[in-house]
Amino acid sequence: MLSAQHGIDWLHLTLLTAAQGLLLHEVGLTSFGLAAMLLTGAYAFGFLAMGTVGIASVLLGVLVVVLLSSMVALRVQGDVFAVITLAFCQILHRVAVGAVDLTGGSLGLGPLHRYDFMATDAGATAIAAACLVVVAAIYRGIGRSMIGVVLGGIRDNELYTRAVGHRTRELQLIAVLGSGLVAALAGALGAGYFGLVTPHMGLLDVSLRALAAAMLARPLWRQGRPMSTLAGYAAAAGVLVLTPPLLRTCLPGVGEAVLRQALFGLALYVLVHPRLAARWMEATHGRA
Amino acid sequence: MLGAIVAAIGVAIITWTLLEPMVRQPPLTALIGSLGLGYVFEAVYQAAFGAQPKTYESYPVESGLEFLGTSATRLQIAATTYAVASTCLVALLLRSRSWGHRLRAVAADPELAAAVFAIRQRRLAWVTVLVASVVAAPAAVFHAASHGVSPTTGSEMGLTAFVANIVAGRGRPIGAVLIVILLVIMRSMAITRPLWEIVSIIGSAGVVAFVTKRRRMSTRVRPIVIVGAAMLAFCATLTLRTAIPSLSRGLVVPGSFQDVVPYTFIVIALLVWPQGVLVARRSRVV
Amino acid sequence: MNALRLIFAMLALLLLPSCKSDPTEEVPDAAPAQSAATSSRKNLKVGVLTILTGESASYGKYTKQGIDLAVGEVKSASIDLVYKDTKADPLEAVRVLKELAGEGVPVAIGPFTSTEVRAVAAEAERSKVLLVTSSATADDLSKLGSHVFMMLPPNSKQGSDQALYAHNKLSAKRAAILFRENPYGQTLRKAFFDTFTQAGGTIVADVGFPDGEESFRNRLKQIKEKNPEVVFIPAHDGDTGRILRQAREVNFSATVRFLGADGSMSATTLKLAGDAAEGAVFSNVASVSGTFDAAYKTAYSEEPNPYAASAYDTLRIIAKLAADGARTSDDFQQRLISLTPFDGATGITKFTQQDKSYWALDKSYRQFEVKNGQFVLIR
Repeated sequence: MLSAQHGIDWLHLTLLTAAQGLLLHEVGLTSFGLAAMLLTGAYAFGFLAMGTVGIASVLLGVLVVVLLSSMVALRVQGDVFAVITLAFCQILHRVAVGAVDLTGGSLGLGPLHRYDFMATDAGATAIAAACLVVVAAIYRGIGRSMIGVVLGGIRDNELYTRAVGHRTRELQLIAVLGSGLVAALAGALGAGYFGLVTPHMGLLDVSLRALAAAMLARPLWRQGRPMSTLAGYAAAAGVLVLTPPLLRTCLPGVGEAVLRQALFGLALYVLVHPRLAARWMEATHGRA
Repeated sequence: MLGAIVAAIGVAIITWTLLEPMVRQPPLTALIGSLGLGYVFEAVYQAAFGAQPKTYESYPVESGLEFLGTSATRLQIAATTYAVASTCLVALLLRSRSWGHRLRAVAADPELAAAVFAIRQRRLAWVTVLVASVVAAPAAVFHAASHGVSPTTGSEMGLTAFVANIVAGRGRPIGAVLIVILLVIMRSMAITRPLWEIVSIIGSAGVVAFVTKRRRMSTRVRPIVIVGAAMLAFCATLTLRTAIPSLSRGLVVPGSFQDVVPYTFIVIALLVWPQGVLVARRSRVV
Repeated sequence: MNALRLIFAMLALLLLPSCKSDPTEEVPDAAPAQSAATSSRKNLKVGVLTILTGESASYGKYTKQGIDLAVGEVKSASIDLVYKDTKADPLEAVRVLKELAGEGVPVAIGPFTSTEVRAVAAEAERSKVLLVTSSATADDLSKLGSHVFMMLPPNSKQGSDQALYAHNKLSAKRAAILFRENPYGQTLRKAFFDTFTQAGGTIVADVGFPDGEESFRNRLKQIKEKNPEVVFIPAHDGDTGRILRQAREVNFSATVRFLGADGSMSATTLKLAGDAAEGAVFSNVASVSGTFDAAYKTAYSEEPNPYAASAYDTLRIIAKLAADGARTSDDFQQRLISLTPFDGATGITKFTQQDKSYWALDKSYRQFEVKNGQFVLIR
């Protein structure tokens, strides 16, 4: 049934969902590139664990990659932004597979040296939970500040927000950068727990899973203040991670991977279907 | 052929019941819904039929027919003929008054189209999706006969088709066909031609695209000119390589990086022409 | 409040006494022999890490068939098999190994692929789970440690054997290689390349392709232009099947022979390639036991499979050691190192240390030719 690994997956997906949610619900941008950021964080941890580079270089490298990709992608908006992030995701995955000397190719990096407590379920849970608490505190702080208000304005009407004098491009960049760093953190946590890094971590499916969870989370916080809590993201991530193994105990003939895929595909479809999505909103928010 | 017809009918039913509500959503929303539905079907097929690739056992392995220095099987010739014919048919339909003009009116301004021209948008949307699905279904059968079929067949192609439509620009479905052909050629050439040749061909097409846009060339003629320039560049590089054999030994992209070339082109094209390669730039309001 | 409601609902789901959880329910149709074994509390748990779902599930099916056949013959009620599905994903393999460690399993058969073995090795050492893989063969597994045992010789031996077969038996002087760019393909490619050139042959084309590739016509045309006499394809079954089919479509000469490796020897290759597979030669360890062949045909109504034979031997060895009193991973490790030559379905198994890990170096790779849609042992 459920194991400690499912709990750890839940925590990691919550972080990734929070990263996706920051873009989707605060800034109004749909990104398919979070898997690329996650992969960047995972490889950064891998290089650090192997002693190839020091921690300062690793942090700088992650910052440079996330910043550059954010700056390039933010030259455009809307559908085009989404397609460019999709292209980044695919490019980074292919480079991770192809650059064998640097990344280990399809084999990846590993086994990685790390502290014993990071490899245990309890240690990995504690570290992931601590990171979530920190991210939640940062989100809460930003959400309640003027920055959070301006981000909401950008989402609702960017032109008006810019017209009243706010620096919308810079704030969008900060939001995209923040989202990328949170995703990189999730990648580093995953690499630390498994003790290896593979290009599989950067597949487009990972981005889509985070997107499905972020869309599912939409109605689950206090209306108008999505950054005030991560509870909605945690609940949505929990539904996607914990439901398949529970369902599988009742459907032993079906693989967990198949159920997981069907579930998040269904979530994606229902949440964009005009009538079904409206009913979900009614059910979770009550009639207006 | 029977399989293609059955596939077309089945796809039309699925489209009518599941995809039609997405049609009037923004493109990205429709993409996400389609991807979600794709994952569900993939999971169902995997549970029902297993994940191993399968072939059409009644379709034999055939040798290729040699012509013009290359070879192609009857299946490939039939698939190519079908692709050209269906593209021409769609192009003709888009020029028709009963469908094409109404489609453009709805795309430009749905409320005006409904109020002033009394266009039934739901019926129009249904017909559009039906045509698209019926055109795609036999193509899927051709692909499966050639490469085998597994639950993941088609997912990459669907994504490429969406990306090509964004790169071509809204309202340019035939242009999207040309973009897809360009992406596939780029991917294929990435591992068989030296890098300098690929850069030369893409660079030539890019320069011609820029110049024709500055000169406000007609959007009907422009794609033909761009493709023509790319083909001329291709012939020129071929001639150069034949004349100077040492040029063939240039840096070739390794197989693992094959996909990086078309995706890099997509990023550059969208950064330079965010509204689409084949669409006139709108004046900026702010 | 809505978020809290949802969280409480999920907690309620977790606490629902819904369906019973049983480790053997990991496998959709667990062999009947296991059911009796699960009732005893003193049974030794033996883990099986294999691919039960996904594109490579046929490999897991063969492994399971071999193991189930061995369990039925061992006639010992002292072993509980705990199947875990790795889905051919290294991260999933690590997850399920942790689950096995949590269940107190001292020894595990598998994982199937070299990539997965490499991924789980460190965790296996940390959790004190001994790994005995019946199928993984990448050369770099030698560096993983003394808790990893390979039931087959390494890829370098297989690649060399195929190169010598091509040069000596097929009298080929010009060879091409079309390899999958993963550790399996790359190690086989290197061994074939080195041995063939040392034997006096020439590699006229050496072309790689990435994971997931389905169209090989361009690469095949590149190779065809070089006029090779043999083409070596170190790849997986889906790739090889498509390559053989597309080679026919681009009109490869009928005199060109195609060689494959153990990863391509499956029904998927034959289905995808159709009659284009006729005459292709693959290498694999073979069943040398008439007894095993007969038992396998009776149980499963199909020809014996090398993966099943290897898995069969693996479980029989573990059962023998368990009957001799081995209970912890250290017990199994010591007894495997000092194992007297075990005569099994795939030949004599005796472990020799190479670098840090242990290999069954005394086995031979044999050649199988496709004749009338079947793999027939020819050498």
